Amino acid sequence: MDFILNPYYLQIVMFMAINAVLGISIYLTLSTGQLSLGNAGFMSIGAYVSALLTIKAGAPILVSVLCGGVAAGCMALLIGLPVIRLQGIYLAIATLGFGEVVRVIVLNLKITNGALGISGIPSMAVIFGKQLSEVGLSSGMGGLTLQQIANLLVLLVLIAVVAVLVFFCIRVHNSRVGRALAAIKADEKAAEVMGIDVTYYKILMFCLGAVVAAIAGGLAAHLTFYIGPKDFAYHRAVEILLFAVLGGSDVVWGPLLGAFLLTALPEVLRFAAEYREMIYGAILVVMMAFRPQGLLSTQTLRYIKEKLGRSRVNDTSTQPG
Amino acid sequence: MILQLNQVSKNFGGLAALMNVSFQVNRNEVMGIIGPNGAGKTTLFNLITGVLTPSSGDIIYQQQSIVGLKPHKLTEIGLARTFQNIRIFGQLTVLENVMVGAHVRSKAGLWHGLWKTPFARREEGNIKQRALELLDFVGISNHADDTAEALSYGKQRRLEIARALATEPEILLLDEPTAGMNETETTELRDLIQQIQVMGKTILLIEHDMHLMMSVCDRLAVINFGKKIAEGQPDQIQSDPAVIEAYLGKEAV
Amino acid sequence: MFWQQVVNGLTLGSTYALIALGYTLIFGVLGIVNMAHGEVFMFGAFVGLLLVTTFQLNIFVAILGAMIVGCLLGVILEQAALRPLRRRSVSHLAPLISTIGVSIFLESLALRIFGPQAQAFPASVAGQLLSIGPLKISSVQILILAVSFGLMLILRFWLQKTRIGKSLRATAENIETANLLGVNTNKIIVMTVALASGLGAVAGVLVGLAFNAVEPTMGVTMGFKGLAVLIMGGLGNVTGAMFGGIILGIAEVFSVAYGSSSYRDAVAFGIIIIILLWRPQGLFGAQKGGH
Repeated sequence: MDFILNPYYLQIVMFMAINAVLGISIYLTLSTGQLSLGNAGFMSIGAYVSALLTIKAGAPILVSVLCGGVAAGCMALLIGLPVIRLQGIYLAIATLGFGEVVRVIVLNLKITNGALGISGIPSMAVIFGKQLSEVGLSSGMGGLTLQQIANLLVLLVLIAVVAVLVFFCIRVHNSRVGRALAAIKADEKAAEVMGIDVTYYKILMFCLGAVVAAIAGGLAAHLTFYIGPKDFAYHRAVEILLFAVLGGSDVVWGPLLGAFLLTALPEVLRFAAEYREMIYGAILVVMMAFRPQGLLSTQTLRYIKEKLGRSRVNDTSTQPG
Repeated sequence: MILQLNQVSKNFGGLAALMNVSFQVNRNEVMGIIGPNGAGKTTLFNLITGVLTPSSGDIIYQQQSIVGLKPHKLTEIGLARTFQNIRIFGQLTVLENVMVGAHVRSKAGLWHGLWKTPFARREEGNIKQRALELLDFVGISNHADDTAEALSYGKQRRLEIARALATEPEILLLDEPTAGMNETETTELRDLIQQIQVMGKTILLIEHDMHLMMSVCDRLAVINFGKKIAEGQPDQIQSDPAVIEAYLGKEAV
Repeated sequence: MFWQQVVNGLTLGSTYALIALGYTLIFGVLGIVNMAHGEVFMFGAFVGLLLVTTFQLNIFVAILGAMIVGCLLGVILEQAALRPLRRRSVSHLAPLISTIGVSIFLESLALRIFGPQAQAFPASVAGQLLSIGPLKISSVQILILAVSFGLMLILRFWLQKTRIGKSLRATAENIETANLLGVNTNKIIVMTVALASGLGAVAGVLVGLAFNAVEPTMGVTMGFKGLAVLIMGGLGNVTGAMFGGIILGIAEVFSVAYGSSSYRDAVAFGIIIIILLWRPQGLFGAQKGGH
């Protein structure tokens, strides 16, 4: 309990959750075999829209984060319709271009405060704290201070978001739609000939990926109370991609694992913190050369399940009577 | 009559790959298209399956022109195909491959999948049941849970046929289904084609193997240099002088 | 004023063309987009700068030195990030991801070695301003124009006339056929990447001179411009890259002169998006969609 109450560790776990959401966003896009480098751009739309709504319009966080998601979703639909027919490399470059255009626009608009970025975004912890003291918990409860309770609440909210998204991904994965997505990823042409409306599903997943990335952006904005255009540049796009490349993009657990490992790495290894970007680069190269499917693939998962199944069988067989 | 080609031509740049080809396919028959390599068979196949659009002419399927329809729409209205170079979904299981074929005949969208509604469960159950039956029909049901890429070549071909049948087609287009098969496998495939015909399906077949074509097809069309040079029953084709000259060539003379 | 802008645009554009040539050569032969090209370019700029400042060398020697280091980086890049992927069949996106890895590795390496701040060439290199009628052109601009157009002409000639150039084009046409014809395609691939990287490094020095600033982040910015030109000219199209580069350079200069300077970096990507939607094969490409 002390571990989780330490604000420093608490923050790391919160970033893990945000990165997990980002990992899920790229997983969704990749589930039809599309490599999009635009998720950082969508994340920035989510962050700016929600931050501005909270600050300027005084909207509740839930509303502003959702609005950010909707805005990014609409944007994705707008650029997705023409861009989706582009394949492979073209799509990657076009989405990279989109991210850059968003960045330059953010840099130049007055409302986004240009290169300085927006600061003073009300953080979730502070808002939760206020609400808690309004219901009479200003002196804390059960040995925890108000601040600690508020922080735990934020963490709960983030974990809940990740859990809902994971649930969503697993259910979709195991459904008729998931099967269609897997077919498109395996062989787009054959999938279309089998009667799957490839364009529809690709746009659907592109937009869903954008919405999820924007939600991550909105949540992140209300954690750190500052956002600037630099937070959503090329490096962020690469980092998001890295979650899926390291963890794997066959199953939703892959990008989650990737997000977890890559967030923890700089904290565990001091040396890794210093050479972070270099290590990221090396990971991308090494993974592509030796394990392009990522750490967790369908096969790995099947293998783990078999192992677990077997050990469970052994357990029951050793029990008497 | 289920499918009809009217004066179909296809040019690539200045080159004419097909010139004014017309023929029709009757309901529940096995129609074969033969011709030497490069005669335009594959182009013809791609035109019918919507991969290419004809430069001129029309393709009529059940009283409706299908020129310009996207491949997935064609599947929806009842045309299914297999590929010359096998294109199964290698990472998916054999059963899942066939279940993908049922996509076009099922409805459960994101919402149903997300909440596993009774409708979605029932539909999934039906799809799975039907897929297993089809696997049984083509004789690979014992491999249902294997990954598709682990199957042998001949079995992958059978899987492709099962997957195509799962789309519940009226007409099944098979593009060189015996390519790379040995003699036993070819004979087995001939039996399979005949069984599919018994199911009431129409089959359009492109093939190199003359013995197979002569024994399995009700009628044949012969293409050479982008033109149809003959059409008729196998025995008529075999004795057609134009065919002997163009296709069967020196050895037959 | 107008012609002055044209000259400025031409100078800028010729360096873009040089960067894009590197992308397009590699795409032509290997069918991949080398996302690390911008960082090779940036390293070239730093090497040129070091040779001029620390080693007090002549600018032409510095350009040559940068080219050699660029070629070496290209060889390393090929061995580390591309060759392992060719041995097995992987998704066509794998080389893209792998070279993205190299790009952020090199950028962060440069940050460590050279520090984050922009560095300038000494004033002696910057040269004086010449006036031709109403036009003002600096000796640096002349140098840039001469070197980049010179290299482009040599490259064209080399690709068309020499034996190795012909093997390279054969490999670009079809790698298997080239293999059958007795071309050592592995050697050609290494050479292509080295050559492309060498050109990129020279472009780095020239751009460093043009803006009189060399910094680690210039790789990403200019790499993006090169990508824009690559798309504009058509992937793998050498002529397209040359003209595309010049068009982008002029478009940027004019958007600054007659529009707003702050949106300059968006011009490149605006162009990318428009081209991709309107003519995915590029302005100079044959009628053929994306593959």
